[in-house]
Parts: sequence; structure tokens; C-alpha cells
Amino acid sequence: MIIVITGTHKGIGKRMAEYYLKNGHTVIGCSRHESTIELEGYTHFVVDICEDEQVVKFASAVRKQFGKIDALINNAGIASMNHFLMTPIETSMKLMDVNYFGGLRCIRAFINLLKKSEHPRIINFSTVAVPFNLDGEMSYASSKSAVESMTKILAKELATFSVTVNAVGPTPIQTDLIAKVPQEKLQRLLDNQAIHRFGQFEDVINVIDFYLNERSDFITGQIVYLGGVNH
Amino acid sequence: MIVVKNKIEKIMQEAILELNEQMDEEKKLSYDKELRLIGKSAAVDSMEFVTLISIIEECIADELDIDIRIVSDRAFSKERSPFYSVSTLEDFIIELIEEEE
Repeated sequence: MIIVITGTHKGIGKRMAEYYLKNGHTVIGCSRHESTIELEGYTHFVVDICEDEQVVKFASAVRKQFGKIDALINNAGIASMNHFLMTPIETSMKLMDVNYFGGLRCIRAFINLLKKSEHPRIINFSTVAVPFNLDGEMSYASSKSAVESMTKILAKELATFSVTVNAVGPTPIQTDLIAKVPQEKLQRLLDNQAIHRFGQFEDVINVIDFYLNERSDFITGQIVYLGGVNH
Repeated sequence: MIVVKNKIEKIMQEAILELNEQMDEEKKLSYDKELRLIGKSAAVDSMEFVTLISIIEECIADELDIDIRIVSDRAFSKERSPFYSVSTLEDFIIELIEEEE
């Protein structure tokens, strides 16, 4: 498969890219920084997904080099965890710009390349902060709520092109994204899960593998939360 | 200008043929400059219209090596909709391509 993954500089995005490369796939990654991946089959683009023009050029370059893609994994995202009175409006707008509009820009830019695949897939990233309605994460959870609505609606609108659109909602995973969240808050969150532990990269990849599987043509518009969290 | 015009006409014809593959026999379209694309007497429904636009963008990328987005604020803010007919759509696409070049 030819898989585009956004946000491959570090964290889950980087690990996903390495995982799929090691499994023999072609991975096209992007981030605002130069590549940190040196594996065969990897192509990196320096792209700010908040800039329309850069995203269009990114897709155009991919079209010229690869002709099509089989999957787009909208992984790039940022978080901000604070009381809403302590969150500047600019921060909320930035979260929306990266987490929601960034994904939307990429989908718009890559849709015609995806349509050339026999089993085209779009996979978005949500979070358990959405069903938990976590206090202190209003802006972050709101941006991911938008991602969830986008996922469910695009699943309908893109079904005519056989493109499936799904999302995974990880529990806290020990990455930079939650590095500044107080331990007791994380513990409270884990206590609310059916299975009280941090998520692992392997838990996330398991869901993504399922969505990517060519037998998952009939799976679309789904949000799978990890750890036994219900909406 | 004439070269681009001819290319866009050809792409439009190809796009209509491709769209026809997804349409019922009685709805299949023939290339016609006056073919209405939106409104009450449109020859296509909203989903077929979206599909047509998508096919046209794809053909332009593949054949002219230019990435354009036909649907934009600019398209909607025109006094006369570029989506009114095949002819108006072709004119609008030529405008977009000339800006890219």
C-alpha cells in the first residue's frame, strides 16, 4: 500500500510510519520539520498542514511521484489542556486549525489520488476526551469532536467513491502530547476506562490495521475508542 | 488560449463519458455546451454533479499536470454561477488554469 501519514516527525506518527515501512509498505510522511526517519520506502515532505497552498503542493508532488495513494492517516495534531478561562482564543483557534482544518485540507487535497485505489481509506485521530467531556480540555476535545463529525459525514459523502472514513480514539498514551498533564488527572482518566491502563502504540496500530485491511470495505463512519470507553 | 480551450473541451467530454459509466442508461449524458449542471432543469443530480467536478479535477491533474480546485469561494461569489452549464464551467476552468500558468 501507499500510505500518507501526517505528523511523522515524532510520537505515534513516526512509529506508525516505521511500522508500515517495516511491513513492506510505501510511506509518505509530512511534518513541519525535516525527516527523522531513515528507512527504505519512506518519502518525506516538509509541510505545514495549516497552509492551504503547502498542502495542495504536497498532494501535487505525491501525484507526480506516486500517481495514487491507498490511505491517508490524519495523525498530525496538537493539544492544549487548561481551564477555558486560562485558554486564549488564539490557542483554541490554532487547535481547530491543526486538528480539524489540517485534516480537512489533507482530505480535500488527496481525495482524487485516493479514488484511484481499489480500497481507499481515510483514518482520522480522535480522543477519549470527547466521550469523557473532560474538564480542562474544552478546546482540544471540541476540535476532536469536529473531527468525529467530519469522519461520520464524510463516510456518507465519500461512500459513492468507495472511500471509507473512520477514526480511532486513543486513551492517554505516554507521548509528548500529554507530557504536561498532571499525574492525578491522568489517573482519574484511566480510572474511568474499563481497562485501567495507559494505551500503547500497539493498541492504536491494531485498530488502524483493521481499518486499512482490504476486507474492511464495509467498515466506515466508525469511531473506535480504546480501553473500553463508550460514547 | 485556443489550445487550453480545446484541451478543456476534451477533458469535459472525457469526464462526461466517465460519469456516464456510473449512470443509469436513461440518464446518460451527451456532451453539449448548453447542458445545465445546476438548477431545476439540471441534467445531473447533486451527487452526480459532485462526481463530475471531481472527475474533471482528476483529469486536469493527470492530463495537464495542474492541480486546481474548482469549488472555491470565488466560484460561489461570481454573479453568474460557473456551474450553470458545461459552457460556463469550461470558461471558469480556463480562467483558473490561465492563472496557474
